Amino acid sequence: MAERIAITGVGQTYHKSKRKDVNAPELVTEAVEAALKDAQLTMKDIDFVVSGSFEMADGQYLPDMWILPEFGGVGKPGLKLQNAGTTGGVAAGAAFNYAASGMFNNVLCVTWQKMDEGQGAFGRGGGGLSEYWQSQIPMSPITNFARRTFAYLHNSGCTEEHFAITRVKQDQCALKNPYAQLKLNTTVEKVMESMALVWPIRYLHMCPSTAGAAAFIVSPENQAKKVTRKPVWVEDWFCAHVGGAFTMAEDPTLSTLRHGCEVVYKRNGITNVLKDIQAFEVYEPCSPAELRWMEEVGVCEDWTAWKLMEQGKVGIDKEIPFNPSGGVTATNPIGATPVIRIIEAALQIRDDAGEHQVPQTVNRALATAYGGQGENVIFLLRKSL
Amino acid sequence: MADRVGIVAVAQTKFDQKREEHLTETLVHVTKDVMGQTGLEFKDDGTGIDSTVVASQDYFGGPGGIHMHYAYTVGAYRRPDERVEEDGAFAVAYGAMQILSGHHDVVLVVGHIKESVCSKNQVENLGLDHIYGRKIGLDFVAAAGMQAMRYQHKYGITPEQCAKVVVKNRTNGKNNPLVMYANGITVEDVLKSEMVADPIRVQEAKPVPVDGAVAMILACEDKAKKLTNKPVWITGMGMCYDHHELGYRDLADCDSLVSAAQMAYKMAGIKEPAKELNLAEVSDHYAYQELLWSEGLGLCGKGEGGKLIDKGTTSMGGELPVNPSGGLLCGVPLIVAGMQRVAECVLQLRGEAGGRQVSGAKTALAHGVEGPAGQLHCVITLEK
Amino acid sequence: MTTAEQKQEPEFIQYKYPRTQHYWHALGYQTRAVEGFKQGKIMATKCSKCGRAMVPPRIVCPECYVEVTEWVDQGQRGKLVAAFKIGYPMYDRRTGESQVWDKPVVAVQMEGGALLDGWCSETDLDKLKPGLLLEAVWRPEEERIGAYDDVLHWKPVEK
Repeated sequence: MAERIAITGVGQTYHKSKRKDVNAPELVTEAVEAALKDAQLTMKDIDFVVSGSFEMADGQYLPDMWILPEFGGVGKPGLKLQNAGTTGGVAAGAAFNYAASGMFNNVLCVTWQKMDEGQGAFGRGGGGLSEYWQSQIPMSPITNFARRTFAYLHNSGCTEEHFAITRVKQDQCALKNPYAQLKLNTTVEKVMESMALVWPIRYLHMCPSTAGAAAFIVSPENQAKKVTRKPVWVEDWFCAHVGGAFTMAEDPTLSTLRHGCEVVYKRNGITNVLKDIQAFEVYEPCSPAELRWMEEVGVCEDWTAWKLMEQGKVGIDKEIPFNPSGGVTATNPIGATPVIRIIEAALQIRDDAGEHQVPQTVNRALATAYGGQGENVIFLLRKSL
Repeated sequence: MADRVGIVAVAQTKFDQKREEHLTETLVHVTKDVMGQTGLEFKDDGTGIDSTVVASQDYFGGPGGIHMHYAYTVGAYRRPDERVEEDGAFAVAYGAMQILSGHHDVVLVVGHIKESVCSKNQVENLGLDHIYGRKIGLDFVAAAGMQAMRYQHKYGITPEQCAKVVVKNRTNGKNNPLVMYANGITVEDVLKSEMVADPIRVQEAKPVPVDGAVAMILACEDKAKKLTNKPVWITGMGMCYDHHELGYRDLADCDSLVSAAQMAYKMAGIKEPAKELNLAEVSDHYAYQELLWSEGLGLCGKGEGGKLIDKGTTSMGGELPVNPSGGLLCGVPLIVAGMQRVAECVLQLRGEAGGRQVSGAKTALAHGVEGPAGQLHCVITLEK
Repeated sequence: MTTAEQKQEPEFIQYKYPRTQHYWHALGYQTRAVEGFKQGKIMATKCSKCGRAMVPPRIVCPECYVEVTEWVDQGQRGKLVAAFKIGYPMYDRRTGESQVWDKPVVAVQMEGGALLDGWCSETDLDKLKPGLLLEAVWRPEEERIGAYDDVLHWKPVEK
């Protein structure tokens, strides 16, 4: 890498299912202002803007054109990226690339989704389907996870109750996160009784639709050290996409998470995942996914994560600090979700996560983006380089 | 900047209506073409293509997240692959940035669109503000109409001068075997053609629908020199946003293009673009835009776009030929547009542009634009 | 970090766009598969390097990046890999309306190697176990339109 880079400021909105009080540009501005305040910068200091949103869920063509001027994007260079679920992942990767080139002092990465507007049923109603082959069977991100979950049930020998236990753990974490949307204080029984959305996925297993935005500022080393006393260093990132998403042609257990993690672990000398990484913010769009992702990230053996969950070993102050923020099942503004993972990982490293702060010192954190049928972007953040 | 980025291979499809060909076939053909030119394959160990950057648009794909379906056709299987939802020039600039950041060495950049799948105007209507833009039926053609009118009014640009741009580009296009709309149209024909958004006539607008794709491979300096004996170097890149609402800007002065161009010229060390550049490929979605963008790019003074075409400066054989390929007026789809401008510059600088070759071309400029009335510009300068 | 407090709750303005955007997609090489459906066949492309059979037919093998030209009939039977049941009214892209779907969906590993999804006639979810042998039940020939749902559903094979 040409330049070492660090995240100098982070900001997100308080996520809600509906934000009738603001339009999309105003919503995004809240996150940008929060990030600027966190870094003690103003828009004048920003010299590149990378944006990301899944615009069909916004119901807007070229939404960056509409939104950027609201928070001072006029006169700035920038571009927008989008890759469905991993939108925030590729946007963050682009921001890191621009910062690492050394040509820009402060790069703003801003992502959003206002899912209460636009095509509301989009997320569950056929967004992301190939035009011919899937138009005849209703398929969606949920059916994708239903396939995975069916395979998980049969391969691991766990029961539906373990998914409910997972959900309760996620919910308990979310209760401690002021920004999280769903804070249900739910129970295993309530999760088990909730409607089978797409059996074996239940209503309470699934992530909500969210109006929210998230932003961060990333700078090369010299500038980062000037801006903040708590820089969060970007150690590495790797984008492992698997084009051909949602096609039924893919094995229901297939994901690039394991492959992507192997690449970044090897490049950064990580041999013992649980020892070398102290906080995990992994994009789990539904509760059962968290179990599989724990295995793919490498915190436990294949088909054993449910046992750890049952034994209560996963949580903010537990052996495995997996998704201390409550994760995606609590909050999911699609385009912004991966950036929220990065922000939460950064807060853990800065020791700024408040109630959901992992008790031990977090020297390194892992954040991921997920999309489609198993596409992942993996990020490693460090306290010091 | 520690390193230079070189373009080592380019491929373009024919720009026509691909009603017989599935999108994935088009993508595989252009990708295989650039892979064949360089002998590179998709590799994980740093000996081949490291990463893919694609420019495309969901609204022109049908389903949301269209890129996810077809990414495997551009080699993105368990591999780095990112998609820019802007004009293709931004994808080229971003691909170069992946190399300048040191994150990747060799990047495949692909831009594609099928305008023939749906209504461009209807999609562009969704690109405007919910309350003030969409409900009055505004789309990017109407926005361009307002810009053209303001530009003609403020600087006294005449309809004849705009029509001359069409004649020049459609004539240049005759030397470009990939475009469909090159012809010997006259100024009178243009001015007699149907009005689409006053003062823009149908012959002054980019033909729609057109389908196509462009691919290119970018590499860091060391690898570029090994991959080809004719690398073309990216010397400068600049981009800039303007206001969204048309009323917030003076449409006759493209301030954001001026900033984008300054950013690129600064990076490239270009002080007098009109003298230092040998040719320019600009995004002439409408005839007046070639004149207006030429002003923004500093190829002439403010309001002097009309003189530029009258004097023949921008014609083939002039001091600074603009759009020797025929430009978008000969039928190049959006998204692909900016990237095809870069591809044409590469062919010119390699001396491989055939009948449209500008002799002795050493430096070139490519321009891409996105948004209503040119809200977001991208300028890329290149040299041999 | 701060953000605006939630104030009073204004209402959304609802705009309806009566015009619908239509899309025309070229099938290209996939025409072969569409013709197959009319004849009651599931056709897949097969990679000449790794032998992988693909439905929907892909023009290039994602893993090997080899252009695929070979077409293979996938047969009429396959084994269940995964199953799910849609429990809420889901958007039907054919009609544009949401509707309740009675049958579960199964992912089937075909005899020819391809993996695909389809409706299942068996509605007892407990009976849908991995490895269950399934057989394609087609629409009557005159009703076929050359689409993937010409396969009416998949039926467990009686032993």
